[in-house]
Amino acid sequence: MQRTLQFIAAGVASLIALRVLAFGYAQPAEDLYDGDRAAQAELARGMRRWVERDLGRDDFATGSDRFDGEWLFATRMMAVLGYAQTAIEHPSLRAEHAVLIDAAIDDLVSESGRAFDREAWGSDPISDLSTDRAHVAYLGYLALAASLARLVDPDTRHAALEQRIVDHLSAHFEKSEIGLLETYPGEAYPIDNTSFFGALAVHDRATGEDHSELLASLLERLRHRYRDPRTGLLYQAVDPDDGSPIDVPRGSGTALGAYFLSFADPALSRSLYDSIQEQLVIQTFGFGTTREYPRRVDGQGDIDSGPVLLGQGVSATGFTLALARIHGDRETYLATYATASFFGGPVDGNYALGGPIGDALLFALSTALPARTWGAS
Amino acid sequence: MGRVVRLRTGLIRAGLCVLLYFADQVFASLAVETHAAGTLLSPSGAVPLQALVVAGLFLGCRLLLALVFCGAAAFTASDLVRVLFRGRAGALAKR
Repeated sequence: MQRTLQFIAAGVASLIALRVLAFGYAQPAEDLYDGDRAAQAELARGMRRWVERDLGRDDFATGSDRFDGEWLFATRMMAVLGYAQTAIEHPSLRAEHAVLIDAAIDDLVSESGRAFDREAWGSDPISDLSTDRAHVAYLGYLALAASLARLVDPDTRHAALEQRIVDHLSAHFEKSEIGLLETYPGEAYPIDNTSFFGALAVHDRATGEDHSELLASLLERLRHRYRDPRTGLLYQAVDPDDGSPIDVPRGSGTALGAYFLSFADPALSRSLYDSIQEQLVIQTFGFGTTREYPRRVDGQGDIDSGPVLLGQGVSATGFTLALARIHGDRETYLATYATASFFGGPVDGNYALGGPIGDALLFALSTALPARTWGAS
Repeated sequence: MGRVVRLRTGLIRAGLCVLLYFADQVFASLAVETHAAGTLLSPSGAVPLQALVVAGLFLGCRLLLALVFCGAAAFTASDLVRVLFRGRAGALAKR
């Protein structure tokens, strides 16, 4: 009897201790969730370390030149999103962050910043503006960064380039039969396209132009053609010729896509988040994680998902942080942050295991703007 | 005597948690300074040895801290139940 009770007490105490740990690691997230200026400014200061450093492909070690270039690009692009979101939430940060945003975009459009895309397409994405080559990944992500720069500072030196990119991609989307454009020749990913859908909405807010008809048509096709009817998640990759899925629906693509779509269509973003919650999000004693693949679907980790451990995806978990804040889900935000904080190890605005891309992602994702910012209920 | 031993054991457990916590903080700062991030995020594993060691120390220390913290709570709870039973047995014997 005594032995049994001792065993039960030990088990209960260790589970309570685990919850206490999760509670402790989630604590800094309370302020971030509430949009506390000081908490967000600390992340912005941590990111400055990377924005001011002359980063190159050598700072990444994916094992592929193209992916190193993509990660370098993503680091700067996510830094812009973080700086822009915090500047929109706290107008007193606008002047300071506008300078950092412009500096990061300078790097995004530099020769080295666009090299990975030039190598994949065999032609330069900026020189190809107004040609028949879409470059939707590079230009779509750049458009989102530049349109947010324009929203923060209408006089940004990148306004003219942003306009050219929006005109170029809008013209391509008008003609697209499947409602998607190619990331690289012969490759189409819904997630890369959603970055431009978000950009188009931000562009219209910044300039007063009206692309609502085009945007509505693109979102309608995304909703009906590229969501798996069983899970509600977005297909990760499709055939660029007919739009048929060539990969299963996945957490990383759906979660990042839902984040970008929050700028354009908060209701669609919410609907995707509901599917993610239903299919992928798990909480274990206060620690939140997100699966990369739906239950009963096996899959390996890749460059998009990051490591997949016991089915839980590193990227999908991180992207869920943004969605939880966007859609007012404090519980998931805190639980997901507890996991990111436990494995990431935050130190004064940087993360022990974050590096440039991890720091940039967590900066942008943890400061994602609530949907109500754009007038959603 | 038994009470002193239990107190000492409790203090050792708490001290170990505190020690691991500070080691964890030191390794986290070191990981930021040495840019140890590639270790976990890099699919190729092509990261410098120094970064690998620092990241390993940080993660190892953090996991050990969690293990020791939960273990300490478990053993302490188990000890408390034993003490309660001994106290009850003692009271019954006096009666």
